[in-house]
Amino acid sequence: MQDINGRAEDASKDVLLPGEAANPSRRAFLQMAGYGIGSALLSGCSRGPVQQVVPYLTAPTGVVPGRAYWLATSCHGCAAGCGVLAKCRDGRPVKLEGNNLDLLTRGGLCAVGQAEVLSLYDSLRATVPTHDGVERSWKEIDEDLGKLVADIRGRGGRIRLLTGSIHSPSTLAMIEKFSAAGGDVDHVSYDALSVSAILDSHQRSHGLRALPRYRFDQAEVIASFDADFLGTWISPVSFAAEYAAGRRPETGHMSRHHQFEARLSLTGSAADRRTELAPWEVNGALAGLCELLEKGVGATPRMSGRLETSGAKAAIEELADELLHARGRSLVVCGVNEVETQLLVNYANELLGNYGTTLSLARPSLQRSGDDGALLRLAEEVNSGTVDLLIVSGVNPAYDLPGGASLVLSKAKALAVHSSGLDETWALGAYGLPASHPLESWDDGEPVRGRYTMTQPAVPSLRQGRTLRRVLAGLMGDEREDADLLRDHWLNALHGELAPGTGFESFYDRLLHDGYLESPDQATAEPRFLGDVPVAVAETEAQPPEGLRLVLYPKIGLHDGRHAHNPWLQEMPDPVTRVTWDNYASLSVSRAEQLGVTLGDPVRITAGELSIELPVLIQRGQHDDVVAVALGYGRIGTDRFSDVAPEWWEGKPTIEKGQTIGVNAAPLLAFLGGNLRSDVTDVQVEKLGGHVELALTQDHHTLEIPEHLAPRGHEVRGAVHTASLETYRGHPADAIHLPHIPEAELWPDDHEKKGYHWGIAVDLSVCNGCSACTISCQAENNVPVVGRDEVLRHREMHWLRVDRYLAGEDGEVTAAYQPMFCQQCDHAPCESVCPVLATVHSDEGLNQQVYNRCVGTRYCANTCPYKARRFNWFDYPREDRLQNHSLNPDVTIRSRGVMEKCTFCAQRIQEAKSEAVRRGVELADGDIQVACQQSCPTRAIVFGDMNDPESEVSKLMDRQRAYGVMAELNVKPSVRYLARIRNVKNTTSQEEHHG
Amino acid sequence: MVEAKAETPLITGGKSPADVTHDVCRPLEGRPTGLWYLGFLAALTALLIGVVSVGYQIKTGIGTWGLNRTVGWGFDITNFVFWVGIGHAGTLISAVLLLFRQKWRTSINRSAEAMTIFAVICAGLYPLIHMGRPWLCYWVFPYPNFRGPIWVNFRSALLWDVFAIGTYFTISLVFWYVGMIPDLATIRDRAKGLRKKFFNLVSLGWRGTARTWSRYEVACVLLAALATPLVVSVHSVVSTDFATAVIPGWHTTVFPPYFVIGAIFSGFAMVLTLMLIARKVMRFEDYITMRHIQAMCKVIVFTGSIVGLAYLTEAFTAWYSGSPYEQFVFLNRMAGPFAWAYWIMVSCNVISPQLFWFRRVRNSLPTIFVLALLVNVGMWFERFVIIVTSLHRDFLPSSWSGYVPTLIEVGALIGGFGLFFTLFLIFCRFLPMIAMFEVKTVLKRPARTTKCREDAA
Repeated sequence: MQDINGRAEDASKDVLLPGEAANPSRRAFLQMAGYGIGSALLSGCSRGPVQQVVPYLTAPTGVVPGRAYWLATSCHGCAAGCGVLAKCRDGRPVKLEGNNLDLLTRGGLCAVGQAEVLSLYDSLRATVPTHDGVERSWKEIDEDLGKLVADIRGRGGRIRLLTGSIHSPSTLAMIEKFSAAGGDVDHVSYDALSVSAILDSHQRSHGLRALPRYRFDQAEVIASFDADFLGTWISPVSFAAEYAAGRRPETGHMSRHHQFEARLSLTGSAADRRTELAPWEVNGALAGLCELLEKGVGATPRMSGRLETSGAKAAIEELADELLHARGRSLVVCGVNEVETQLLVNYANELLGNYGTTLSLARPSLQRSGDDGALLRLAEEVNSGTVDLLIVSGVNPAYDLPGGASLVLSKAKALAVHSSGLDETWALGAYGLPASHPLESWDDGEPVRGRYTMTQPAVPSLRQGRTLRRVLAGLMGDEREDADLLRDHWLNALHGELAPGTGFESFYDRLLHDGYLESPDQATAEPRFLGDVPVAVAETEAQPPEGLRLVLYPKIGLHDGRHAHNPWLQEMPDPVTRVTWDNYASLSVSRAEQLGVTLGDPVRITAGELSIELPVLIQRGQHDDVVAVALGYGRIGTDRFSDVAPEWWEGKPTIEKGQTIGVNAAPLLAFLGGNLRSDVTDVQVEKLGGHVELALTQDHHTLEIPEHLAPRGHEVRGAVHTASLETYRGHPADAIHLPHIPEAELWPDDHEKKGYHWGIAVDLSVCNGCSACTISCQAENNVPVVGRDEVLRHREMHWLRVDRYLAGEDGEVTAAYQPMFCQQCDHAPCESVCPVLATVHSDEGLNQQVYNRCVGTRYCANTCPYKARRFNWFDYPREDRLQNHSLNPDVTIRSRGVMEKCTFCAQRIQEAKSEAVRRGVELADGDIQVACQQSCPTRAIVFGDMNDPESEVSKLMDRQRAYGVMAELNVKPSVRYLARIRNVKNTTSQEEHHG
Repeated sequence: MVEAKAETPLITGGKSPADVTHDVCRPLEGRPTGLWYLGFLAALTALLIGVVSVGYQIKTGIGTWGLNRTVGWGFDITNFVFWVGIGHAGTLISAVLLLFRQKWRTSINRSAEAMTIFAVICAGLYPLIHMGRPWLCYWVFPYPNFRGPIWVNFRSALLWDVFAIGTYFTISLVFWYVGMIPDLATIRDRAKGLRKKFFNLVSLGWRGTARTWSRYEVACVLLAALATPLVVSVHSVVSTDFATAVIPGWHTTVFPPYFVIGAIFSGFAMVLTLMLIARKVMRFEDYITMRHIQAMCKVIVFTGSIVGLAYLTEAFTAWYSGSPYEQFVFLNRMAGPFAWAYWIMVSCNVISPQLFWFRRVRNSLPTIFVLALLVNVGMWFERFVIIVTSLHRDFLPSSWSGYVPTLIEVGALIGGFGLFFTLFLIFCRFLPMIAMFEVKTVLKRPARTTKCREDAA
């Protein structure tokens, strides 16, 4: 009885989930039936929520049950605000894809964006507003909190609003309105991954606090000092897209990219020349660069004597030379959050005449507006006890700031927290204001001045969340719905400016349909350089006296920690280190030797009073005097993933209850010179006893075979081919050397593939390893999360993995990335071995896996040369069953004991073919976009018909740098990789071991 | 093969035909010895461990084994190939040696055949339980069905296995049973009550007339002729599981003969192990004499040397092929993470059996027992080396991994031995372990025996 009642109560409260009532006994069945009939009678008497229960009595135009429709919206995974299309089935979004109309991202979407669809269905998100822990209705909150706000305003008290970077015009207008309504109200924004110094430096050098819009596609020489712009810096998707546009050796220019960094980043591994540079050497190197540039352009010499102190003299000299040859077509960027450093960068760009061409302040980026100075001022105000109400929205200062809650939160007289409820700050707030998920919200955005994105709900609100705009409106007694707030703002404030003289209705409809709008170019002049050059910039920081320098960095998946509750992103292998489910202390090879530690040995990292304990990861290509730790881990509530791994005798939970995934390193961030710094903390690292197993998906990190096992002359495997641009342009035939591939066939082809012959070309030149494809594939193909223990046992399920191979000598280590998935071989070794014909060849060249025929001998996986097959070792259910709603209905869920693998998105091929038939047209090249291809920010993956000589994929495969991995086995893969071309000169030192 | 020498009798102790009948039937008619109970208890325990492990694995998933995305087979197929190999000696002894008129086989052929059948039963279980969805195992049989019909894949070596093992089991069972009929009749003649009725039934009304004997001889030779090709074919087919795959270390044309000789090698070692125990436990010293044991030792050193040659050939081919993948696999076997398994294999299979060249070694029962056990261990590791070291590092270094078996997997291994010994001990207890009628044909004439006795007196 208890059980039945309990379940029934749950059901009435929450969404009833499939499979929840399992195997009732006869008694229970009768009880349940009685309850069911009773409740059916009762509910028949009441007025149900009509619009949710009656399925399309009058169907909306174009909506067909069972058929997907797409809504243009935008991603709020970080402040970059990329345009996305939400694929909805039967009223719920199941997949996000980049919006092709978004000219910033050009249709790409990163892993975080792909995973947003899962966080929508997170059942632990806050449901209802709370006041002092008591659940309230929004009406009550509006009244209570509204009254408090009015009181404070009345007595001239202080209200502060603390948010992350916001570029939504309507929200900013609402904040403006809220601030102007009386009292001392101020809005402060900060970014946990702060780039405040870039804005501050432009205030000094150009008189404008703005973040330039970088144009990597316009730059022929790119110099990056510790800016991971392909991975996590500001707007990686649009940067990667633009960067890749300048990295195609056949078309257009091929940029030259220098990277100076202390740890091996995604961006660093793509660089043509990568130099290890410790954080304390950056200023010296930049000053030296500026000195050389001054000489080169004949400017007044103001910098002097810097270069000799730089640790990267040769690299800087080479860089200066190249930059000077590309004036106005080059770009210097820097990820160090120090104003002096950024002033040097500004000066270098100014000397090179890059403002207005490769970076622009006239139409600046609004993706980051956080102000560290304002944050510190707010902290002072709060700690002096003069802030009467602090409203925190969309940020997690209790977690991601050094000092945590005591910095800006604890002394506020009243604290209201507007968030998803899954964060550390939420628990501290007297008022808990649940935020709506972006996929259930109305919003707009202006990531770059004059470029607008729209956000519209793809599903009716699953929780009672509100946007910040709606919350503030509510506090001011404005009862309008969010959609109206947004619409009215566009009607009153933006329509007239953006499309004067047109009808608003059609304008707004178009806007929502496209999800992206670009205002006509205004001829705004670039602000003038004011000449503020930090001549006196000293080596502000000396080399750490003893111990190591701690470098904190964000990971692609978790960002500043805001995605720690997303299992897809937790299980996504870090592209560089291949570690899942953990952060760790990265040490260079020689430093690890010196400390006597190996992979997984715990170390204590101590900075003054603070210390954290982490397992060691040894990373080639890292500066010897640096220990690198990822931010974003150690988030509260991540022990929810304890149930992720399958339960069995030897199985271990992904995380013990009460613990967190990884360790929070944010307390080791530091404010220095008014800026939030991630690279200034000096630490002691000491070895601890014990051992921690890190869940890596890759054990062997290079293409080189261990020395004592290598056959002579075959020390390196030829999976990834790399060639220099010089060779490729001069003698393309010499670019790659392939083993002999047999041509003659003994037997006639049993599959003639007369119609289509599907294939994929992957350009390794532009693939940067960002792993968006991995998560896109996971979302599209219902790939389960298996948990830490299973990854440790090498049983990750990702159909598409991005193999990473380190290469190069010490000091110049780079990495090559290779997306690896089923190669749909025409002579598939897997097909002939299956005893039950569960994997068969289609006459379109696909290697089809028939799940319900599979008995699970695993013979196919054994014989797959690419190890692209994945086996369901257990049932891998979702930890959060509400998240089953994100499952793609077009793709079967695989049961235990069944083999699975990449299908080239067979469901998309079928859908496109049916659509073509329905319309009575021929299937055109590009009609089918497979999930990985669609998501790829750099367009490195191209799918198409190899039988059509005019298709893009055929043309790519005809290139001289195209090759099939292990084609010499004569398995005839349908995937071709285009050799990685690096813009390097053919000197012996640049020769690389990529086969 | 070993020639029967006129001067050394095959059966010692001057047995008369009646003695033979009495000696062989004694264990079946009396109460089993304490040693038998001890053995049976141990075997049952092992079997129970296996049943629990496999039951848990089927309920929970193959994930309870230590396999991973790179190493899809581990203990499971190692055990399978091991047990199939064990079976081979039985068929060789009973069929091939029958055709070659090797008289010395008579004492051991019955138990060797029984061993074959039990080994094939054990072998057959592993491919079944190694499936992700073992409840669908019948899908590997080409039976008429309404799903299309969906047929099986005749190009798959696993399917050939199904036929090879199926045929092998059927023919071995028939051959074993037919070979037992005259002895069953003997037991029937000695038994009373229910036992008599039972043996009457299973001895198919055997009368022992000259006509029956004549028909019987023909049937046996025919069955032997049918079984003989199986000695070569079954393990050749099993080897194609590997040889037809593209994985370096598997994709080798030497595999069929290599596997067959390895099978005979391991089979003889197993027969020797069993016989050494059985002659002690069942007091069959006069039937399984030093001459039998010596003969088997010689077969082992002969086949062991061929196995060594096969290892060399394999390595040479890898080097000569020029394929970097093949070459790497062998270097990796010899010096990689599983080098210990490789060197166990080489020491147990190639090096230690060479001791059988020495007469002194061939005369020391404890040494023979240890060496035979080592061969069994070595041959198990041979399959482990072939399967795991080839798989764990194949083409793409990104996917290289390791393999550590779980306890559940070890349980399945133990269970295999448990099943085998349980069946074997039941066989010892209820059926004639030695082919009485055949042994009687190789007895010395009674007159001479009597004379010898008198001489001795």
